[in-house]
This record gives sequence, structure tokens and C-alpha cells, in this order.
Amino acid sequence: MKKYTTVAKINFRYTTWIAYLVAGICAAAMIVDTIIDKSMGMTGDNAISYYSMLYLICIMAPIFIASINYSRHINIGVKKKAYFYGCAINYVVFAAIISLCGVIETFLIDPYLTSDGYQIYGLVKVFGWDSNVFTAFFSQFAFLLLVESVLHTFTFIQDKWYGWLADVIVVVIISVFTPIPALRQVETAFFNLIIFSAPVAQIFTCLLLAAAVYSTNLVYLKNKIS
Amino acid sequence: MIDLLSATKRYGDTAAIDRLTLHLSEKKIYCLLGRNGAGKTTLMNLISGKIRADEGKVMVDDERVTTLNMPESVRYIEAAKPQFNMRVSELMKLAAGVDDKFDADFADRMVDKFRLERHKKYKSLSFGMKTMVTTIISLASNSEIVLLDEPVLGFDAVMRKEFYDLLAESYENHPRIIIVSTHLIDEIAGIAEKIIAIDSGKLLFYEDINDVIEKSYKLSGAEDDVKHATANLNVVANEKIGKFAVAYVFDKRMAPQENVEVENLSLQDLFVKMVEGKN
Repeated sequence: MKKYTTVAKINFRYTTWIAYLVAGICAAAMIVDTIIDKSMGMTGDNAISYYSMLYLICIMAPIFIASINYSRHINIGVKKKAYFYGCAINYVVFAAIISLCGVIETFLIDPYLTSDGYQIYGLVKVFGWDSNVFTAFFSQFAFLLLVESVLHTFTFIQDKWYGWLADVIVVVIISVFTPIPALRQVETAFFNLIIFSAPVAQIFTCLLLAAAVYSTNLVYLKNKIS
Repeated sequence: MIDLLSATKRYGDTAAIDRLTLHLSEKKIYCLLGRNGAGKTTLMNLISGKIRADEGKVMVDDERVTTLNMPESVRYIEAAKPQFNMRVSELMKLAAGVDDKFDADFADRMVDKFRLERHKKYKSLSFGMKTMVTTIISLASNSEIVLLDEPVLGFDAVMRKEFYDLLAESYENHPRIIIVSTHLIDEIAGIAEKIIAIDSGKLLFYEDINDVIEKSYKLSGAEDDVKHATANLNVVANEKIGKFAVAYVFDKRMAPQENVEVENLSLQDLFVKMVEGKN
């Protein structure tokens, strides 16, 4: 376990700091914007919740983790399995912390800031996960974990032909499925399932998909040379 | 214990390791000798599970090595590969974090002994010092098998001497299989016990270093005399200057003869002649 946490610690400290920086700057800019709005008594404005900026970490961190430092990990003596599980710890921790921030803001901070004509929107509200704190936390957590595993996997396989093939397939799905109504329904059904379905189904589906997608990294790791 | 059973690794059409069979079981310091491109690094990568064999088997401690199940008992850090740009002290801590058998006290003493500046970041170190850092990390591991790929690359004569002392001390503290790949065979001959010589991915010989020294010599004299003296010997290379001939032999030591002169051959010369003769 120590080996896994060491990999995770390195990633937290040395690999993903740019993601924290970007998310931090964006969140700070939004807080400053709110302070100005509030102090000037501006009404009729809408804002995006601060924690939305933390999603940038979930988007950027997997890209950085998968694209840089793999060789360095292996070359300091990390075994491939430890790398696999260590990165998984990163994603679970990111998803948990950001989900927690989302819950705290949605249920404690946003109601305080919201006033007539001043609304704050976050994914928890938009996706309808705000029925209670547990749903808000776990729905968000599972969804973010899925996003992270997909981004990690796609980034990780980009130096192989099947990485490029996967990109082409995604583009084809989006460009072919969207214009054709029957196929669009499939697309809609998929997104409904991972976002808008009943909490248990949504959480279960996202976790299952995240685990399945992330597991494919094992196949790729077999052949990856440091 | 390391077992390679007809292991083959190809890169395109080239076999970097070609049906290599090797069995290492004794806790010793092994010298892995080979020219550039002979397959030394590939062999180490195969043993550590960083890459997989296309054919044959690689076993460590009776378990088949796979790229996903990299053997825990093998420690292999390539000096030429990039490292995290941390302070030396942080890099040592990190190495300890990923290796249960890391001897932090030994690493600490070696950092002092080699006057490595702990606060300096890895990238700001000289080439030789970078190599020393990775060598210390490798040797501080008490893993049962330690692989060192060109550990004296970029070292001056003093540093090389210090490295051999470090290697000897590490082995004394914790006897295990240590494989050192190097070109400087005569230097390591003082502490290595066995030589594994490879060329073009094939095993040239795998013998006790003292036996190799005993069996390596050259005969010089008139061409006919040399030919006659070496009739039943394994001659790895021949040289002719007019009617004068030199035969480089790797075989049982022959008794002194009247018409031919017998001279010892350095390990370096033996290897060079072997590879030249083969090519």
C-alpha cells in the first residue's frame, strides 16, 4: 500500500500542480467577481458556482498524470501495478475532495449568496443531484471518477495506433450519432444513464464504467516501455 | 534466482536478445560484458520485467516475469533515463517509499561519502553525480537482485574507484545477486566473481572470472609453431605479420613451449579479440 500512496503523493505534488494553479486562479477570479457584484449591490446577475472551477483539476490532472512522469516513476523503481493503483488513488481523492467541495458550496454557501435576481449555478443543481447531500456527493463523485478514467485512458494510449483509432471512433460517434435521430437517441440514453438517471443507477453505472475503462490501462501497461 | 530459457527479444527484424539461456543462482557480483548494442540493456529490461520476451521464458525466483507482474525482488534503475527533478534528499526519500527493502542509512552514508549536495536538485548535478545518485539508490536497495547498467558512465578515475568500494561495501552488507554491465572489465574484475559476455544478443561465455583469466592467453612465434601449438585449442583470433603469428586463446592453459611465447591476456583484450574474431 505504501508503494501506491507514494506514487499518488508524487502525482499530487509534482505532476498536477499546474491543474491546481489554473483551477485556483479561475476560482479566485470568480470569488473576486462575486465580491465586486455584492459590494456594488448588483442584482439580476447569474454566476457559476466556485467549485465548478475545481472540475478543471479533474480534467487536467488525468491528462498530466498520463502524459508526463510515467518514465520517471518506473525509473525510480515503481512497478507498473503500483503505478496503476497509485494513479487510481489520485483520481479517487480528487473526485472525493471536489465532490465534497461541491456539496459544501451547494448546501451551505450558495444559499447564503443567492438572492433575488442573483442565482448561482453548479453541476449539482443543473444535473439534479441536489435532492440530499449524499446523492449530491456520490453522484458527483462517480461522475467525476468516470471523467477522470476516460481522460487518463485516452491520454495514456495516444502513443499507440489504437489511441488514434479510439480518437477517430469518438469523433465518428459524435459526428454521426448526433445528426441521425435514431442514433441520437442512443447517445441521449447514454448521457441520461450516466447523468440524469435515478441516483443509485447513475452512481452504479458511472462507477462500473469508470472501473471498466480504467482497467483497460492494464492491457496497455503490459507493453508500455518506460 | 534468474533463469532465461531461450529468451528472445526483437526490435523489428533485429534480435536484441537471441535465444539466450542463462541460469544465475548464486549470490555474487556478476559482470555483464558486451559492446554497445550487444543487448545488455535489453537483457536487464527483460529480467526486471520492463519489457517482455517475444519467445522463450524469463523466470525470477521460479516465477515467470511479465511486464505487469514485475518481480519485486529485482531493482533496476537506468542511469541514462530521466528522474524527477527533486532535491537529492527528496529523491532518496522517494526511492525509500517505493522500495520496502531500501536501506536509508546506507544511502545517507553514501551521499555523505560521495559529497553529494542533498539540497541540490537532480537536474543541476553533473552527469557523473547524476549517475552516482541512481547508483546509490540501486545499491541501497536490499532487493535480492540488483541490476546496474553502466554505473560508472561519466565517472573519473577517482569516482570509479569510489564506486567499486561502494559496490563491495554494499555486497558485504547484504550479499545478493548484483549484475553490473560495464565496458571496463579489467577494473571490475577485482570484485566481480563471474562474467557474462554477450554479443549480438547471444551468450559468448558465462564463467567464473578467475577461470576466464586462467584460460585467456596469447601465443606468439613462427606461424607453423603457433599453428601446431594451438591445434587442439580454442583460438578466438589470429594475427599474422609476415611469417610471425599471434594466436589469442581461450582454453585450458598450455604448458610452456620452446618455440612459442605464452603471454597473459587481459580480460579486455580477450573480449575484444573474441568479438573481432566472431565478426
